[in-house]
Amino acid sequence: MTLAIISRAGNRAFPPRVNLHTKPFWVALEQGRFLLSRCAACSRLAFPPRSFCPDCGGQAMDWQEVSGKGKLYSLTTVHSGPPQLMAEGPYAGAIIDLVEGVRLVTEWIGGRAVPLDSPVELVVTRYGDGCLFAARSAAP
Amino acid sequence: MTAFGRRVAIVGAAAAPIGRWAPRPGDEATGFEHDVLGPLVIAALAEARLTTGDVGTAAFTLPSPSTRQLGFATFMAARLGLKCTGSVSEVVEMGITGGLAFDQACADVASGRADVALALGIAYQSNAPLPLVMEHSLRTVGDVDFQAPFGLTPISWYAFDAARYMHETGVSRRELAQVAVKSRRMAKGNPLAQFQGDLTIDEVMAQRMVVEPLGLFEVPSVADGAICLVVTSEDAAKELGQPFVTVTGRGFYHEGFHQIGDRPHDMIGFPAARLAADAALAEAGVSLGDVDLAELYAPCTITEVLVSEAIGFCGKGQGAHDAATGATSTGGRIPINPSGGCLSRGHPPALTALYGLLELREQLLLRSGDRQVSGAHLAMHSCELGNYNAALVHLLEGPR
Repeated sequence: MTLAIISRAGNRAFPPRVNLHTKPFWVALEQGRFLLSRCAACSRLAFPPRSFCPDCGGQAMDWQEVSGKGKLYSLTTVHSGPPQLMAEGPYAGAIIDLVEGVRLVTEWIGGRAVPLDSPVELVVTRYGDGCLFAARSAAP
Repeated sequence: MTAFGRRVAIVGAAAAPIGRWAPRPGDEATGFEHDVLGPLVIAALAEARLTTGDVGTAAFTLPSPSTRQLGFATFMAARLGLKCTGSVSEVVEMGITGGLAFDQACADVASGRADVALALGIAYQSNAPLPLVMEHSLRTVGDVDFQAPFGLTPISWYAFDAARYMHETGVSRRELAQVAVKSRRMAKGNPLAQFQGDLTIDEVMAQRMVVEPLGLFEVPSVADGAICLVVTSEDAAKELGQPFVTVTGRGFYHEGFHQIGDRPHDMIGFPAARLAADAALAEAGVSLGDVDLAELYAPCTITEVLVSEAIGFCGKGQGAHDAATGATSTGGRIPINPSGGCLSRGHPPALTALYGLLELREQLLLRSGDRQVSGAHLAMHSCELGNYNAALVHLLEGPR
């Protein structure tokens, strides 16, 4: 299943670097697909994508596409941040636990008073120079 | 410190008041970093009847991004005329930096590589351009490619803690904010403190939000500082004949996460703090109940609550309540951050641990005036990095 793609004006304030170990993630994200890296030896899922496994030391990595569904672990709104991100006022971030058992941090574009532990989903945010991702509330 | 080699002692110290006094461009009245730190080193050594010629190790904290002079440790060693057998270094890792400098000084003395060691540094924070500071902090507290793009500043992570803690315990922001009120009360009369006025809970609650649910007085302010601690062996301290405190235990733990792990875990349990404290207590052969007071690195209200609960000074969910009732104030069950801590004493992050250790030393030497914790004999210091992903704990004992 693919994630919703939301268009954004302008470029990313802090564009991520891309290399051979992370490029498949960003290419898939452009298509609305969210990938985790998976150790070929022990099957450990990881995010951000890895070039070596923190559990077994394996250096062969596969990819696993995930649903983007999960739960909201924590939430904050930043009122004092880097000038590059404050142009349109305060912004929010969230810690998300995906149903596949992986935790990540991302931009939050849902309501600022959403109860923790409620269902969420990842979306793609498409800028002029590439994509990032974000999370918002989802139907249970 | 007894795990290897000699027990060590803090025999001298000098520090500048925390505040915003770093020179702005064109300010010719304020000294450069070495002009301010040098006299503090000389004063700290003089307190123990030592001179720069006695120094065998100098462990500096890494200066801030606005410091023009690089190679600062060796530059300062030359300015001070040090000739060292132990080590000369700049140490750094986020908030634990000052603790690591102290650790390096202690280790060199304990192992015999040096007889006199300095743990020292200067932090000019207030003259650093905001975009530079923000960019550095984002690149520090998150994966630069997969987390930093979202703009989560260092205190944003403590805000995540606060939101989660309030959700799990039902404790309100107003209750958490009591830690800020307590902090200001404790700092009163501390000559090194950045903020010493009175503060009410209503004033704390009325401030603008910085990182929800934390407002302006629930997070640390930008601050400059400069400090030097002098460490010798306990035997040498006795020979010097001046009052000293002894380092009796040390513990460290890194939980293997950078802010958060990539699998669900209890983010607000701060297990590294508990494990490091347990290790320090075991090395000293004492129990938590023997500790008379503590300085705990805690940039935000929530951080003091969580680390106090993690180590076991407060029951789970009770940290804010204990601040409100005075249980963690001077005169209470266990005074925590009698200096005023990061919120009132002030928080130049690289130096915060050294200021905390200095406060404990003054308390254990029973010369803290109106802020004195009566009967202070055994004190705990804790510092951390990230979201308490790592903790470094020292136990200090005063003279009998």
